[in-house]
Amino acid sequence: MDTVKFVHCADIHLDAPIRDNGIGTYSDIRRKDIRNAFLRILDTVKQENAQLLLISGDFFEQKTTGKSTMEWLYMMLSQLQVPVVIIPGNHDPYILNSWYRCWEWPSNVTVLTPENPSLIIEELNLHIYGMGFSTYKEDAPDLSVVSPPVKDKFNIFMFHGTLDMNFTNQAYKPVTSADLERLGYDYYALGHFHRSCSEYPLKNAYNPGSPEPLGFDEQGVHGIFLVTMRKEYNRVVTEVSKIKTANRQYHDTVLDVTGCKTLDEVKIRILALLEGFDPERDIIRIKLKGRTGFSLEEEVLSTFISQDWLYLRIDNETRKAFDLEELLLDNSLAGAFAREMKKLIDQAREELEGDPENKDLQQKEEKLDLALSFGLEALSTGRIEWPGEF
Amino acid sequence: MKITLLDIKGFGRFNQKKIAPKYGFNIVYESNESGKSTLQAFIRAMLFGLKGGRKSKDGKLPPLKQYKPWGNDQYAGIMEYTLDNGKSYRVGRNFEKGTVNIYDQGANNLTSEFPHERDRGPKFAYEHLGIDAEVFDRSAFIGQLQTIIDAEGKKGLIERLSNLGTTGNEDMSLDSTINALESTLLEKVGTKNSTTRPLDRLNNRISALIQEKEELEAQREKYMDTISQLHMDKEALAKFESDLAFFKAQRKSTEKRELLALQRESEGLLNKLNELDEGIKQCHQELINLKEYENYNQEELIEISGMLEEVKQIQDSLLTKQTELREVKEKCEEITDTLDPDELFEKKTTDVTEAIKEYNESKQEGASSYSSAGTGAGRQKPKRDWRPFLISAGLISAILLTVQFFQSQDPLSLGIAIVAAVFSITIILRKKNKDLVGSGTMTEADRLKDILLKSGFTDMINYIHYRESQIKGREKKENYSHQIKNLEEEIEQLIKRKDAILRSWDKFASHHYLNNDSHKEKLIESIKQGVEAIKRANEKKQRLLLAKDTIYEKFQIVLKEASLMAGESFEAVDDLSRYIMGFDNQNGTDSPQVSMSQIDEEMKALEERINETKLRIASLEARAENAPDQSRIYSVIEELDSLIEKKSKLELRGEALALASQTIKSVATSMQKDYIPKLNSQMSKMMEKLSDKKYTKVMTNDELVINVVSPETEELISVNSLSGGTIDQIYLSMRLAAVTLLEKGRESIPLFLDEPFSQYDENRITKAFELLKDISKERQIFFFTCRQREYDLALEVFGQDLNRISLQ
Repeated sequence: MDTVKFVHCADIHLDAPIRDNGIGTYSDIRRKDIRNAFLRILDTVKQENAQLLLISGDFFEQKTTGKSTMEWLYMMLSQLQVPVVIIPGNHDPYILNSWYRCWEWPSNVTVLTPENPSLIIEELNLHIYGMGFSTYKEDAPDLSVVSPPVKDKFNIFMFHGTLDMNFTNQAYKPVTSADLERLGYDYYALGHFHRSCSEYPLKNAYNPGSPEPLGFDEQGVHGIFLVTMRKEYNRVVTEVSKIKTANRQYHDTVLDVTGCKTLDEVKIRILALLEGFDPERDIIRIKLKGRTGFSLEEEVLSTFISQDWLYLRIDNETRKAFDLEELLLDNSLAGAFAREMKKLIDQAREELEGDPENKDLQQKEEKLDLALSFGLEALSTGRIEWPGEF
Repeated sequence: MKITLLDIKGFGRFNQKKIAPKYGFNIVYESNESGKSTLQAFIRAMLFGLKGGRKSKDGKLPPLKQYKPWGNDQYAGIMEYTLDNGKSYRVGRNFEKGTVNIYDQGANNLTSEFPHERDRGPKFAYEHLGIDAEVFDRSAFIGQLQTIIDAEGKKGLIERLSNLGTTGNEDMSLDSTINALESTLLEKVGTKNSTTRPLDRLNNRISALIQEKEELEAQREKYMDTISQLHMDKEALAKFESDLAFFKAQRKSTEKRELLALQRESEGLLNKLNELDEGIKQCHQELINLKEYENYNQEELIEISGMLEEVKQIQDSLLTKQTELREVKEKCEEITDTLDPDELFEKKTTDVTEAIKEYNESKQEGASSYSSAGTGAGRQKPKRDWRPFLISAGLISAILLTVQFFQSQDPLSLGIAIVAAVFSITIILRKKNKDLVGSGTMTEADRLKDILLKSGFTDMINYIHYRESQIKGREKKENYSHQIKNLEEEIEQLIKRKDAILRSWDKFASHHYLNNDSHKEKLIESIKQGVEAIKRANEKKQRLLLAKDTIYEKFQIVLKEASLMAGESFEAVDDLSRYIMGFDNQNGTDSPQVSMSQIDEEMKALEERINETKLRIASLEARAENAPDQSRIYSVIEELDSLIEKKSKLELRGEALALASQTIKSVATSMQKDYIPKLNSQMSKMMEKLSDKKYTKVMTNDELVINVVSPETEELISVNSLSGGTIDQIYLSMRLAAVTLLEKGRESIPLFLDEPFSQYDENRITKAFELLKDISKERQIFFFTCRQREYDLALEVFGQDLNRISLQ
């Protein structure tokens, strides 16, 4: 066989807790979304006549997945007429009482484990090697145990871990492109990071991300990869296309409400911002920034606006309206305080510019900004107007 | 900035009121409620606009509504002013419409050149003065002071002084600022020492959730262990059941095989039963056929048969005895013929016997001189003579031993040879001597011999033979005679017995209606055979019946065994055959030859294990049904995440509050070191003037305590120990100094003093006006008072420079 066509997905996280702080049945709806995304994956396999389904880890949440989900999975997977190959991830590791061990999986499903790390499917002319997790956290893997590619077959290396990222404190199976390249496989089916990536230094390494996004740090369109590998003149040509599977899309937006005089004005601006978003599809968090002269109650805004939305969260991060420019020239204590804080904030912002993703620096900047606001409020009114929730 | 025109179109109580202030000192001397405060508000409103909105919580109207003119459509005004750089501007504001227009001295509308605020319009005042409305209020307006010289008033004034020195805002103290931050930190967040604040409550809830999460996770671990065990047990059960199925199949196969064997055996037994039935039938028929013999008594037949046999034996005996009698008679006759007549024999023997008697008597007489041996020779049987043999043997031995000596030179051989030679010679010598003794009896023998010859005997030996044969012959004849007698008696007895038997037979034959003419032996033999045949037939029948019973019993056992094996009751072989026919053909008989007991043992063990496993599975399944509440796990995790996020935010706010507080303290300390000396310097200059050089130095220390240098002792005196009037002076000097410092490097702002000297005595008021006169050279001052005396003193001090503004 000179061609093989398969679907590559990862990080489905069935039965995951939903950490969006949603209300009512939101979490249940989102868990159902994850299931629907999985069903779309299966539909894709059928519609595209894929010969194989690869799941590169974090298929489900070992700590929360129930028996009913496993029964459902059995039913769904057994209906699929093609082989399904799974490696355990750090959320569904191959521990002693893992569902992988204590559940009867359909006959078309193969779980690659340290005891049984590879699989040859003769009818597809395919050799697959899998390296997943056997505990919830693992350090750099020993790649010397990986069996070499099989001659004249398509060779796929399934891996769940961190590729080319310098996470010294929280690395999950860190490897580099060079490490994997030495293995000499034709396709590297990666999993772990929820954002899709196909631009690694390592050729033919693909990370599909989560088929259904699971948080505000997973914005954009989420889906899976449909892969076709073909042999041409003794070399393997790989074609990869992305297929959308997500039900929802996360949006984290910032709205500067400086200048708004009334709550209604703020509401109008929020409504204007929401133009174009789909209340059923889009999960939106709006951070209100800027300086206002009046009090903004998050709950009032949320209650007013978010009725028709599956999820619309408004975080009030506005500060009291102070004329900082003027204060900086003021000889009073407020002026001196403003100058001092401004100096610290400028330093923090400078640091943040050099490392914009650094959460510690982001927090530092926010803390300084907040301290400035609190200090000026205390200096001007002798009290702090505290948001309702806190 | 110097205000040159206030044209009030309509504002509060004012209607079409034009005021043209002078650059220097302007006094508004009017009675109370004449509009002094409204004028101040108008100036503030022209510069910074009026705040609208709703009523405040205490029911106070917002400024925009508060100053709406009474009964006038116009709610507007115009103000003209000149900056320190000489540039003049004209501001027209319509409060009703919220419009503002700013023109320069060339009547150019500059409105759009200033940054705009949504509610207050262009920020021209901020641009020109460098301060916002709030700072303008704090700096330019020196209101009616609490100069009541009592403890409370003094305290309040000191606080204001302290505030002014530390925060630059007399209404805001450093303490209250820090207190606001710290109390917010404590009440709205929480500290290390707090226990009931939001952060504490959050931490408590988080701890409770973490604990619950751990418990739920532990429950789930247990649950998953149960699932795991269940899975293993199910796998084990499947294997056991598979093994059991195998053994069942094997048992079926073996059962079939064994049932087939039992079937064959039972069929064999049935065949045997049939054969036996046939045999029994034959026996029965045979017995019918032998019915004629059934009345014969076996003992009788034996007896009759025995008698017939005895007859036969008697006849044989008779024949033998008669032959024997005849032969004995012949022998007796023969022996009689050989014997001499008794008289002859008597005679012959008596003569010889007498001769012998005489011979013996003569011999006994001669025996007294001869050895007894010689005498006895005639009566005793002569002994055999071994001497020739001994002599020969001794001589031969001597010769052989001598030869042996010459060959072996053994002296013993020679010795023995000599002994043998001597022994032989001795025997020879003794024989010669004996023969010589015997020759002395020849006379008696001759007389005997003579008698013998006379009797017809040749010698003694002849006589002896004769005598012995005659005696024996007579003895034989006697014996034969006796035999003949006995034989004759026996024959007679036999004939008697034969006759008795024949009588018995006749009786028997008559009883059984037998043809007496028939051959008795044959007849009786025939009867015997018939009786024997009946006996045999009966015996055979009994044997067959017994065998039938045994085989039937065995047949029943086989069927019972088959029934037990199959678990079904088989009444007949056909039932068993039908049952075997029902077996699946696949249950072939080619499975390994394992006994049923072995299989049953294995199956029993497996069934026990299956039952145990099933019990365990049932128990595990029951436990598996009690899965931890999944929704609770979700809600705990999700609430925990939410609270951790809240905690993080709250901590951030807490840290921000702490940082603000810390920074303010730090900045205040730093500012005090920088700002306060300047303030002190300015204040000192003003106090020197106000106190007529009594207090030339005002000093605020690091603890924000205001001191003055005592004119008498040069010592520092705390402001607390001064009189209320002096403290009021210090406050005025401090406010004026603060304005000077505030606007340093910027536009000078007009001062608005509203009844500041209400508690001053004349001297102090004069001194204060003198100070204000100095200040008014560089700064426009608006002085509001309702006191005639103050106006008079002002007039005294300012003279023509005084500009009185009338509100009438």
